[in-house]
Amino acid sequence: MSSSLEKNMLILRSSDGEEFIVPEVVAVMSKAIKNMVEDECASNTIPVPNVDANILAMVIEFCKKHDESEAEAASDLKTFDSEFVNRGQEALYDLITAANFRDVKELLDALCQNVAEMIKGKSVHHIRIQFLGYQLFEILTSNFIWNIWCDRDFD
Amino acid sequence: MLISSSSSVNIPLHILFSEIFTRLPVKSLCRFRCVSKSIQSLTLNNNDDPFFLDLHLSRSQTRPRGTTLLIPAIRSGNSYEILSAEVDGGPLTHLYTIPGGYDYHRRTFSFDVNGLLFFSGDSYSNTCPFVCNPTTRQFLKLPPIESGYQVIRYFLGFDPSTRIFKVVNIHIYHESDMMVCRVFTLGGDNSGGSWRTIHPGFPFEGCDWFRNLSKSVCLNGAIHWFLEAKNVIVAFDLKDENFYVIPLPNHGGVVQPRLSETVLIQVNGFLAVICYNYRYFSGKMKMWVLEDYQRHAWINHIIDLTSACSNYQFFRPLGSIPTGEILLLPCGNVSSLVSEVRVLYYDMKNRSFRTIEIIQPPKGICWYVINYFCMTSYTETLFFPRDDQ
Repeated sequence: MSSSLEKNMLILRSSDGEEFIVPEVVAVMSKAIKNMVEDECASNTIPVPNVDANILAMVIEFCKKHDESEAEAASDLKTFDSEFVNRGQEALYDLITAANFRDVKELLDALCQNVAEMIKGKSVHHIRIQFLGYQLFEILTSNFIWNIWCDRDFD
Repeated sequence: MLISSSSSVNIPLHILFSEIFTRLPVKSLCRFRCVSKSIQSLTLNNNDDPFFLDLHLSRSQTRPRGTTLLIPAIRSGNSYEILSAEVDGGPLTHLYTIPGGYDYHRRTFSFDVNGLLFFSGDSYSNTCPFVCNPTTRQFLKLPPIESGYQVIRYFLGFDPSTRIFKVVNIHIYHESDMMVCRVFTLGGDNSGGSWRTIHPGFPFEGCDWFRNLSKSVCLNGAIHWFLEAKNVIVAFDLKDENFYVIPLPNHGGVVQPRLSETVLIQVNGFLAVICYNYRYFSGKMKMWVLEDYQRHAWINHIIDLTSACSNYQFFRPLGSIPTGEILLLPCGNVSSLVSEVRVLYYDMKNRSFRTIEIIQPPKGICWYVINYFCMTSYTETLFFPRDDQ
């Protein structure tokens, strides 16, 4: 537990310099931040590189809701999740990257489930229209990616 | 990032594969086969990537429609088909037509073994056994074994430690009363796609024990059968290729020979033996669950269906679904003319049951002979033995 902070609040600083004051219980939903706090290497301000203010605000909103609603009905949380992930593709991909990088499992699950729903049951033609210009479509149609995937290390 | 992208946003590749593609139905992944080589290798040559396959399988178990009920049927016009219905009931629809036609109809249909279905050959017609993945529509024939009128049986198993599928064949020669055991390794060993004779230590003398084995259940890298005559479970280890015996607890298993039936199934990854008296069915079924496989520790459970059995003679356990509910088929007093077939799920944890209805295909130009007793729960996967023999 971090002892240096009052009232168990942490300050998160986004890549573009904006600061957010967040309760520790909410911030540690990110495994990456949790590890920092546990190792006592978190000073007052925790930098969150690669995540801009806009996206960081969204991530915090999600974590807050999940922290508060632990006692609430699971269906409410599900509704919140489905509304939360209902965003444009650009924001969606940024959020996925942030959730992955900061290791927020619930958020990553909800986001990826949403992208999977977008692909599920659609014809190749529809996918082409929907994802055209986005990296996802390029991966779906690229020829050499498989080799990269095979070379990756399984930990 | 190794891919040049016209867009500024990129999802990390491992997220794309392990978090997004693993949540897709097999059908969606197969659809991309035609546009993408990367997906093609994922859906065709897939034993290369156990991480992806296992994650996809475990997600399929919880995904809506990832698990379905499969039932074999013969259609007028002599084709052998697999029909499927959703786990929560509804219409029975065509899933897959077995290539090769009518001569397959007398085969036995195995439980789902890691997404593969196995159809064993027929002792009398010398037809060859085969495996298929009905979702990816991959199909693999095994070389037949000449058996004539001798007893010959085949069983499919999967060993998770080596990730290899094996088919075990046991053949009893009448004239010498000799038992021969053969193994066929699916995909990737050096046997060149042929049967290999092995010499395991059989658990009992003679071959009478073998004739009465139940339907097999593959679990923990071994194939299991219930053997009523000895009241034990016989297992065949797929890695060591040897038999061993798991004893049932005292008073477990057979209640009254000839009046009772004992069925071996898998529930939540545990072996379970369910025993009931079908002539005088009381509504209660005795179940033993093998909680500790290594130490042979069994726990007892009574399935109480007294409130459900007024309309039926008895219930036959057919297996389980990934939620851990036991699949039971009501028998007796059911007309074959009804348009809906009822199926019961028994929940061990809450000691409760629910009923679902499967709607039979409409009677039109084509008709089906549907074998409800062979119903099995099936979780779709991309698993298929590599075809490099």
